[in-house]
Amino acid sequence: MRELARHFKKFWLNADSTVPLAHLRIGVSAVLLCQALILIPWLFDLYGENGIIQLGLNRYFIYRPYLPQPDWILSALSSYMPYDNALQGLFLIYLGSCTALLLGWHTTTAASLTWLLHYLFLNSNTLSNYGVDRFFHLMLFYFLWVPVSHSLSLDALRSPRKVPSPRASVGLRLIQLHLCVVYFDAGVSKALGAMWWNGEAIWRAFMLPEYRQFNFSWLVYYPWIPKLLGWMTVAIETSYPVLIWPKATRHWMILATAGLHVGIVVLQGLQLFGLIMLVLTAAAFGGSSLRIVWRRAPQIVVSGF
Amino acid sequence: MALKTKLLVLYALFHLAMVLKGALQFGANPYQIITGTSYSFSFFAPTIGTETRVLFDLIDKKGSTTRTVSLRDGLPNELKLRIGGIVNTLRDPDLSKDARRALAASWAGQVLAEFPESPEVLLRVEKYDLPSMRGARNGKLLGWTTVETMRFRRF
Repeated sequence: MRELARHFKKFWLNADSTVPLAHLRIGVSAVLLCQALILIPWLFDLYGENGIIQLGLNRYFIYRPYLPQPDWILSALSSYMPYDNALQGLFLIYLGSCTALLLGWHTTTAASLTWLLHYLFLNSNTLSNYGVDRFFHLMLFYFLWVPVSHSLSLDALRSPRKVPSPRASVGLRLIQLHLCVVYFDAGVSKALGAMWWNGEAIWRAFMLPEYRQFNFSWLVYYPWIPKLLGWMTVAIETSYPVLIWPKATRHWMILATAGLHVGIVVLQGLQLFGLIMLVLTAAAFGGSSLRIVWRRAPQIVVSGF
Repeated sequence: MALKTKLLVLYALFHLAMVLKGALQFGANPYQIITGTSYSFSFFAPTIGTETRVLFDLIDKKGSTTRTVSLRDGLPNELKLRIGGIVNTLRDPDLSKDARRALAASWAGQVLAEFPESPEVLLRVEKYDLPSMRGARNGKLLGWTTVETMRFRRF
């Protein structure tokens, strides 16, 4: 029993570096900032008074009207300035807080503001949300209480901290376990559908116009290829919680996961979704793998030339 | 272990339990909604459905179609995905008739405002028919099929 308690304590409190959390902060906020920059030209279409879902129609599509929405702030400001100008101002604050989070400048305030504003926009046009927004939401919540600025941040220049606090250690373990649940859930729910075993899921994922990046119609003559890809996807996702922990298999699991997400980026055009997933595994589990890559990168580049 | 650390680990276990509850889709409590632990992650699973698009045929005074526009024309992928999510709602069986009509009318109004020379617009809801691999091998065609049309006239 005492041995079990010792292992339990070791598991939660033995993180040896503050760098993985810094990688998470930088990776997540960089992808978040990319998304915000992409959305700028379509800000009014997505969230404006006369956007794709006009303000008056929100009553049909906001399923949890008690949750905070930008409309609450913007309507209050509308007696001082036009609704869309207030929206621009709010989005500008959001861009600023994402940038501050990326740089690790007044990180606690930046994380709180980014979480709040992201949550407001998330609750505003719910129909347009997809997977990537879920990951931003759950990661930004961790950034509220897990110290993510002890390394690689402007804050760390003032007060550097190499040894993680219990909060950092517990936070990192929780994020890692959360990722295990994410992959296992994704894998098992795929395994329950015949489409993922007979290759039809990959065929549809490549051929539906929304995701089609290349003409894959030739796959009908080689059905074993989508079938194999489907099996590999299920295998990677379901084995993630088991193979990501032992040092012997961790690098391979990270490589396999990276391959899966690069495939999603290139072959399905889900750039931000693929990127955020890549960032999460690489940052949360890839500390030693990233160190090896950084150490060997100059050799690889030199030998390449 | 200090009391503060013990409480921290207890909280982490509680949060993890909420993550599992969300993944198993056992409903969502306010804590889960705020923290994002209410989500399940069954992306593209167990099956991958079809796709919906909305087209607008601009009709002139003689009743002929002069131009067809789409909500997704010229958008980057990130926007196409988001618009796709909105457009798919039109085929959601749980969406009330009122909501469907109001959404379609608001889009038609925006299109008519953009093309003031057109007195009328025909909104077409289409779904993408993608046959199975075997079906496609046997010559089944893939393409868009109109499932619903709505006509809107300028007052």
